[in-house]
Amino acid sequence: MKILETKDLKKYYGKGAGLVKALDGINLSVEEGEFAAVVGTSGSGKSTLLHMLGGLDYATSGTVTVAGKEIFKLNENELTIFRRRRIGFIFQSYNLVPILSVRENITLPVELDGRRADQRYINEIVEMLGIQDKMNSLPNQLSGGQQQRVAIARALASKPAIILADEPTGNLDSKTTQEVLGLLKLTGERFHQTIVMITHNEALAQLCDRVIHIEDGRIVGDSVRGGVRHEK
Amino acid sequence: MTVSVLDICLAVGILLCLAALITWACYYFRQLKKMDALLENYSLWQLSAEDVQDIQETRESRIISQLRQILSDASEKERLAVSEKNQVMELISDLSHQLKTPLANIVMNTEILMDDGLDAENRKDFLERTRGQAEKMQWLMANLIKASRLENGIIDFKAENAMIKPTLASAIGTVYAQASKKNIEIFMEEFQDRTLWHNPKWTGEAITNILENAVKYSPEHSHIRIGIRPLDIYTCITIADEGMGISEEEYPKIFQRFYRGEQAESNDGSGLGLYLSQLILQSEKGYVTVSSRLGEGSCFSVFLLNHG
Repeated sequence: MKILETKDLKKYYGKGAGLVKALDGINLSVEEGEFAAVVGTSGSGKSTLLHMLGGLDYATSGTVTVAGKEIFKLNENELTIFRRRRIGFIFQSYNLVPILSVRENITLPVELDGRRADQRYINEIVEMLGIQDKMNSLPNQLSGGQQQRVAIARALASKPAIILADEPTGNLDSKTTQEVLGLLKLTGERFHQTIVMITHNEALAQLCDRVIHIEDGRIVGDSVRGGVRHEK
Repeated sequence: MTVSVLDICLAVGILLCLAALITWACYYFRQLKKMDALLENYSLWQLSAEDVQDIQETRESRIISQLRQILSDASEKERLAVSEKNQVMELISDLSHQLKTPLANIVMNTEILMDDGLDAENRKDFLERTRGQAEKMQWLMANLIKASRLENGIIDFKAENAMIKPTLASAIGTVYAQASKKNIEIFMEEFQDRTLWHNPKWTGEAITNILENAVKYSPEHSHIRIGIRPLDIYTCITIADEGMGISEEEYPKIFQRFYRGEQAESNDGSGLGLYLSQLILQSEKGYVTVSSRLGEGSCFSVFLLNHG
């Protein structure tokens, strides 16, 4: 089923001569369990798209439906709670809380929601990500790759409907990038998470089930792995 | 009997308490009813786009939110079962599509062979071709079914902490003859053997497919280099060739079923090799990526877990 769907999504900034069409009618849908990549150069609208999908900002027109809810129909409070419960984020610059330990960082979204963290589930996640020995460390004691793995664990821990990743390997060297991408795919499949990753790097998208190309605020390509056949 | 102020206060107090209790009870049972309704029809969550019960700060809201999550997980499993059935149908359709051409060739060849006027040399030639087509069909059948079983998790081969050198050696051994025919040399850099999480037989096959691909698209008298890079969680085995290269747009496509590539010859292979490799590696929690430039060769990176 579709976990994410946009209909004619538009985001315009300014007006008149200064009108910038960041998103110009995006129609996109992502199935549950897919690992999708949105690839575009700088200025293509991919970051704006991510902000719309995550409900971090309101659109000029059009709808975004996540897990059956049209998020722009929600008021600010409801949207905040929806984000907290239903959407996981992974950012380029990890965004871990520096004064909290790794364990506390991972369980933060769940505990902010007043729920108790499922320790067994979290232990499974951190073992798969190879950070089980670092649970009591502080973020600044970890390497970039390890910090990003903590961020992945944090996104997975709250079992969101969808995980949005904004250039998750942007700050990592090429070897670590390969590892983190592999782990993202592995954990996504293992824990049945839907992941949408935006990136400017075409090569990174090769592990994804779906590659969507965006340019000047429009979708210019959409290919599905395993579904493309060359007919003779 | 006189009724004092205290009595009145007491009575009012009790009445208020009662009222509060009843109100609370009504609210409580209403919440329970909502959850009942949710459970009764678990596709409810898709229809109620306007419903904001599960995004309030209340405890009931949290429970409803979690219930929705659990129910949606259950309905997802149902959906997976249906999609598996569709995959079987796809396999049958693929098989018939792919086998069509070789079969037609065999029919044509045998018709030609039935001509008594055919001389011995031509007869031999057509017999060879017929055998070639039949072998191709065999290979196709075997691999397509293998791929389908892997996709559906029917084959569950066990991965283990096994030494990697023997696996690599056997893969190289399998393609050695092919490579020699084109005078292609395969180098494996010297390294200390280590255990990696994989299934030696299947991983050997996966790497063989990648090597075969490298041999196929490399020019004569070129080199294929195999290297090893241990990382934090994975170890990366690189297979670099000096072949025609692959453009960036094609990176994700080359691992797709039946994809042949724009520069590919249309006779050899079937477009299943790399697809199978990715399937096998992913079944043992590894994966393969490619890095390449047109005209400058390709480097395939096989990632295997350091321990399972």
